[in-house]
Amino acid sequence: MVNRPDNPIANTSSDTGRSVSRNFIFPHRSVRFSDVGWGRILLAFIVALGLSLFLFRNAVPIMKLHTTLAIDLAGKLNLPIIGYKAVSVFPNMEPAQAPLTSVPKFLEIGTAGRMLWLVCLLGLTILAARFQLLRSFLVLLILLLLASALVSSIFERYEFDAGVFGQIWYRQVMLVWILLPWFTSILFLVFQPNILEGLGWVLLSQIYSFAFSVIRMTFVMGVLHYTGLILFPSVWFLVGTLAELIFLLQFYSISIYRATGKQYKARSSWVSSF
Amino acid sequence: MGFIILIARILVFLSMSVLTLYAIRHYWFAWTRLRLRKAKDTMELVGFVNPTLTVLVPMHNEEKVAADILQALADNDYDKSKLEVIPLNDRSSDGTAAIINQFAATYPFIKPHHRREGRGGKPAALAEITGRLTSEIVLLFDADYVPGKGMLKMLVAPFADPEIGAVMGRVVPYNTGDSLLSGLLSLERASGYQGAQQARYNLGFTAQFGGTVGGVRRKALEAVGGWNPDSLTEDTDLTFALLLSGWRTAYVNRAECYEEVPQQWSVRRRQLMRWVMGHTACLHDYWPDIVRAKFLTAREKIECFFLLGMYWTAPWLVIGWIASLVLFFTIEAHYVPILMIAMTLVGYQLFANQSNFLEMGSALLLDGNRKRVLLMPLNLLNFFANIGATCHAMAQFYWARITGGKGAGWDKTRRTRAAAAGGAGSFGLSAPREKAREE
Amino acid sequence: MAFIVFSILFIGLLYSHFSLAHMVWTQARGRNSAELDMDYVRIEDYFGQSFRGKVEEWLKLPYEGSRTGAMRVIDRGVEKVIVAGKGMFPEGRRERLAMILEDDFVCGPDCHFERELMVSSNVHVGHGTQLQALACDGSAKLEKGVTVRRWLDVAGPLEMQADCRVISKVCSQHSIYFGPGSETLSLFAPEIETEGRFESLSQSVSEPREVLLIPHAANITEPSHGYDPKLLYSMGGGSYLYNGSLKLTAPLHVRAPLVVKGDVETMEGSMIEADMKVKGCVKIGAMSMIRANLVSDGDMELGQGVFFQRVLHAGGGILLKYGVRGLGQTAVVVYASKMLTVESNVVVRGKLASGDKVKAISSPLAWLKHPAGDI
Repeated sequence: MVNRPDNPIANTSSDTGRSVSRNFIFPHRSVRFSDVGWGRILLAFIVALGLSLFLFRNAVPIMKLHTTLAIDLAGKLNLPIIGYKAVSVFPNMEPAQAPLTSVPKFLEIGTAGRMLWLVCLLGLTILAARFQLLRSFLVLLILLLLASALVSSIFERYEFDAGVFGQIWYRQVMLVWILLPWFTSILFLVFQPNILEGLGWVLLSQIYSFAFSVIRMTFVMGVLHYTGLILFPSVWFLVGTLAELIFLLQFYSISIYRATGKQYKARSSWVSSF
Repeated sequence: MGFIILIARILVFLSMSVLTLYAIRHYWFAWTRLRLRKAKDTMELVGFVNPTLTVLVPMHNEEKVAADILQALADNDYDKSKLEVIPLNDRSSDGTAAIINQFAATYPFIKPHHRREGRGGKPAALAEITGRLTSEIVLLFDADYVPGKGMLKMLVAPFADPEIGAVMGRVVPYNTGDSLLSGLLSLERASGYQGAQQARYNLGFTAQFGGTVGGVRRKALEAVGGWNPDSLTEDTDLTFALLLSGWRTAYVNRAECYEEVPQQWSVRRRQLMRWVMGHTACLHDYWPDIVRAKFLTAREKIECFFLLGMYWTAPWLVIGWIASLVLFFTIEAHYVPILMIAMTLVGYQLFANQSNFLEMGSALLLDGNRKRVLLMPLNLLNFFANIGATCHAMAQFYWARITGGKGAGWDKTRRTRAAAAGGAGSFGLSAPREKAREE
Repeated sequence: MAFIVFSILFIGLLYSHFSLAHMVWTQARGRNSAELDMDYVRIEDYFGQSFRGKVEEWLKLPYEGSRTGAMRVIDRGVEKVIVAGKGMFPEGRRERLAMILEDDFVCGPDCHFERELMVSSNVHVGHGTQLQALACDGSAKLEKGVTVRRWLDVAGPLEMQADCRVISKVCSQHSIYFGPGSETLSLFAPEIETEGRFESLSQSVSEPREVLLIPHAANITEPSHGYDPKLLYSMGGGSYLYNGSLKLTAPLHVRAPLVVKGDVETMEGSMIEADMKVKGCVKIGAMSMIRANLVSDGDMELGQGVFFQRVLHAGGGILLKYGVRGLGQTAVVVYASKMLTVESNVVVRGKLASGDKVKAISSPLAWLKHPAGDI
């Protein structure tokens, strides 16, 4: 037991074991815990509540800014915006202005649009056949592609214009923005060792969600404009709420990465090849 | 059309409710685990509780991994006069038997049991041997596991408590770099053990015996009629059989043991499907007994249903999505987003195999394994893959029940470790270690 | 065209959310986990053993001064280590370097040693002194109020006088005297005793006239002495579960493994021969005998003069009252998740440990009235 070369703590020739004069020995991971005080929990609650209320009360100007930015971006992409439509988002809330673009019906979709649908279908099928881990997800997208084409072709008179899309989108993002602080304050603020950094992550998530939504909405409007409904459900599934989750996951993983470094320092992190 | 819309609305509501309840449960677990001050720690008892012990290692064509585990068990620090290791060779057709015999010749406490006939599969093999055992405690390791030197003492320590009928240690994948899947599964395992198992144990719920890296009190095992050879998940079956007789399962987070996780999705899918079907069968077998159980509180009973019904979350999520899709293409489109988003938010919380990302992040934070944390976004792939496999298994299970079919049989997880590879993190022995033999 | 370019950029943006994960995966591919220390075995005197191992290595390093001289200095790069023969330090001395003493170590009151000490012979530490950690190959005496910031590992007898404090573990290969008011996280020695050891009165268990047997005899069907036979269930395998609390008015004799779902209070002179688990709190009456493991989820109290022979494990605190003896054929262990309080005249052969702290307290009343008779 004297000097076991494979035990970094006991091994005096390793960086970890070199100094025995540490003021504190990090506990083994099986008994570690995060000492979260009620003050931190109260702060998280106040931040979440404050942000949600702020967003709810300022929903109209925020959505207006969102629309303006989306239209500017669409203009730069030569995506024709043919007007606005006032859409109700939540009861007792002033309607939002949804940008309008033309959405072709099934028979109006050009050959390029149909070819794109086919390419997507084939591409997804090939990927599904090739990558086992992706298969379930891709099969879901394929089903959505097939369902949308089927519904569009059978129910030719099915009405879905950009106004409806705008309404759906604003209801979606508004709900996400209002709920997001409650998730982020738990994920980032409560357990992040540094309060300011945790607060930073909460605010960054909110701002990023807004900016990301502008880009995504413009993209989906373009998809609607060029291909009608045939790609829409798949794209919406992909870049709707799932996209919010994706960025949240990335932010969360980075914040945990940083928190781990702060809490246990590099040398006491559990050894891993990762 | 009105009827369809009504049904779709009901399904979305039910789906949301189920998923929200599970999301709350997992937030609670993560919170409990993170706030842990001192677990019900049996580590201070290690070395002071030394019952007679049998270690069973079921093996079926395990020549790639057999020597590793036998060497590891031979090297452990348990009092050898109180220990017997029984490699349970279940009709292997490769070199497993020869490896076992070689070890038995070197170490007298290794006493092989070769099965050449009878029903196949781990549960059947275990059922056959159990009646012949005389030791107080029986520990189990799958052949691909590599227990550390001090592990057996850690696992027997909780048996000082007469209420403990079984014990479970922590499983840690060692082949994390072999494929993306195995890397992602290491996140899942961290979440499941460092997170959920420890939280459940600290909250006073019984831990779940996983059938490996754990063990059982022999008398308790006999009291509940031994292993259930008909179960696909004999471990879950035993956990509940014990619980309903008043025994508990302990969890020892410090008893960490390497395992080999599947590297290919096809292997993982089969493994997951077996778990889903076995687990759901336990739900059907035990729910009346749980409702009637005298020794369980209402809180414990509810948690039992959450645990046994956990694989139902995947079909509920898919049902919710389909119902939302139906509503999307109808006049109800205006109402869909709120429902769908809310459902998605809670649904995605369970994004691993039964854990949410707060739970996973918490476990990784406590583990202090920094870089691995960054893999988290890729676990979305695993999430969707799990949903597909779980739904498939559920459909197969209920189809078999409806048609009276046999359902899936026991399926051994394929090993991929290269014998005598000797690479980093790889063990790859094929015979007793020379040094040990000289000793 | 602009939209196509935008679409490509958008896909890139989506990918960027996975880019870090992808990068980490690319780096990690083919490299397996090295998370676990496969050779880890739990030993009680790990800190002392580990430090002694390091000292051995340090002594092989180059040094300043004569090997045979009174003092030499080893330069480890990150810090210097003093190697000397006998160490005598006057009151109030402050020493910042680690020291290896090849003879005795004696220091006056209120000294401060900021680094570890390794002493090959005996140790005497003056009151109020602060140490970082101490490994000693002889015997050691810590006067009143000594604080050790980390651990204490002594080969010979260790005497910790009143109000000493060791933040981590205390080990001796011989014996530990744990003075009143002293506290630590765990103590491990072949024999641990608190103040006022008194052996002339034997703590024998007299056979009581009426004893409550669990499991009960077949002819017992009515509740008596706080025990209701209808609440006792067989768990199988010879174990029993009592679905309630036991507040007993007769001595208890447990003959088979027993789980009690509530609290337990036993009378003086009880006998626990099989493992017992109490889901609530447990109070064992004075002069009882515990021959098996006793585990509780809540607090545990062992009355005066109780004998135990194996494991005591509590999810709450534990109180070992005056005259308790933990003497088994093998080492015994007492572990409390919360505070473990030890009164006077307690002797335990093995380990006392706590998730919070182990504290010795004086029990002066016990000196006046011993459980086995007035003193």
